[in-house]
Amino acid sequence: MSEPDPLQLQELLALTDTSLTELDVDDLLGQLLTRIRTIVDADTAAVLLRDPDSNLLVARAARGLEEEVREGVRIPIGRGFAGTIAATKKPVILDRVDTTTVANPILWETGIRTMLGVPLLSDDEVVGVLHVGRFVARRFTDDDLALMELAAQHVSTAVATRRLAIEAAAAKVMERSLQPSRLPSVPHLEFAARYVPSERRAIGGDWYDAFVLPDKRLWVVTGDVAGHGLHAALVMGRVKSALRAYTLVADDPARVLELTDRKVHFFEVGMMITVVAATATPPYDTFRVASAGHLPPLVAGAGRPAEFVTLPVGPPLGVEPESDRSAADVALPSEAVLLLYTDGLVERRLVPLQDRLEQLRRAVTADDPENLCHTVMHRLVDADIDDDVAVLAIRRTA
Amino acid sequence: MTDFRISVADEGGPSTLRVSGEVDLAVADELRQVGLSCIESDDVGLRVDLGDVTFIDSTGLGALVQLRSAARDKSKLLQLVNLPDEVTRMLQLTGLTGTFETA
Repeated sequence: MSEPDPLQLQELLALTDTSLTELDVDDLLGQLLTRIRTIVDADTAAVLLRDPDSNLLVARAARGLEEEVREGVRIPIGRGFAGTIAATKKPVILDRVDTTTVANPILWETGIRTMLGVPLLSDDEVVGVLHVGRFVARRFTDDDLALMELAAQHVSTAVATRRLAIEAAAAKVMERSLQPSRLPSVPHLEFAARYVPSERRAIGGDWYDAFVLPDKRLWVVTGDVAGHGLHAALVMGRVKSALRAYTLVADDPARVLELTDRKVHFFEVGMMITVVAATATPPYDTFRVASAGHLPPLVAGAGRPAEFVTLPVGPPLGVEPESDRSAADVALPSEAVLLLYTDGLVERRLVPLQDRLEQLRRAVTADDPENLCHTVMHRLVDADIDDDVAVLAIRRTA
Repeated sequence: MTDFRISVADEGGPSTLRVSGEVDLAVADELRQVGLSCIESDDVGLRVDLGDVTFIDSTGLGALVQLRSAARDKSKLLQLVNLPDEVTRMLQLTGLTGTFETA
């Protein structure tokens, strides 16, 4: 294999180094392809990137072959020209383009006669394929191959770097959209909440929710998706949303949990989610509460010790979709508080759960909800937490 | 660091998986994988011995739930045995007592 022209290489390198921070992936790829087409004297150039979820190669940029991108070409790994390059991680030079050598009809329909393709690799993993073609039957040479392999290295690096930056930015946007919503404003009720995801992340699998429907029915919810981090948070977002939807069709929390359970069972396979949901209508003096594997809420009347709400506990969502669930009523007298929380607040490795629950119970009094949240977090939370914590306090003032 | 150990002993079916130490996020995946392959390869099913478990959290329980689903799908047995008090309490508090066959 002879040495590639140093001038051509320099041209190539110049583009990728300076443009890295300014262009997004598609612009960068487009510019790169324009140059590659000139350098190897080709009529067409295209980049396909591997979609990890579907394991298909998706056409992302093309010059002289824009149809590939416009028509959303997707090639299974292992099929046809690009698919074979991706599967074998080896370049291919084709001196004949027809139905027997390529899978994508666009290639022969546009009149391409010869092709050269190379894999795009990052840490020995295939991230895509780069290929060029000619409308005349002139075969690509080993020199062309050497240039393409060099170009491929730069394309792979550029794609990987930009992807990381884009993903990080996208994650931030997603995080903000999954964070807890504002607490409602309801006459004669006060609300306060705390939300502390584990590992100092922005979001986790725990959530709280409090909302009032048009008929003035109030719902308060806390939930916990097993696991942490972004994946748990995404599942949390879907479950929180599904539960809200079901409150529009059912007034009983047991029924709402049953409906949400079936949705989780079929569409969030393998996930386990605990939830406690409570609802009341004006004057909000009686709450109907149901629990799916979730620790019981606490209620404290003015000047009285707090008590755990007595309620039957069904399995977490995602375990037994045919469960019949039941709810219990709890009175909320004037000046009393109701506290919902997730197990991250109380569960500690070396301390029996019963002791921690008792510690929590002693910390709860019929106080202003903000003060109550402060007290509870201060007494129960320490450096030793490795789980998300969510707390929601409601006090009735009338 | 957890001191979690899985050992598989075929004492005339079903297989027994002895779990000890802390069963949490760091360990749940391994528990699930080993458990699933036991369920796959044993004609009768799997018995999970939790006698030496010191701590189990929602991810640990989640792994057990998945083993139960897998066993159910294949019409095989999944049984939890030698449950320490803390684990029994956890199952009660999370409404999972009716979910597992125990002994």
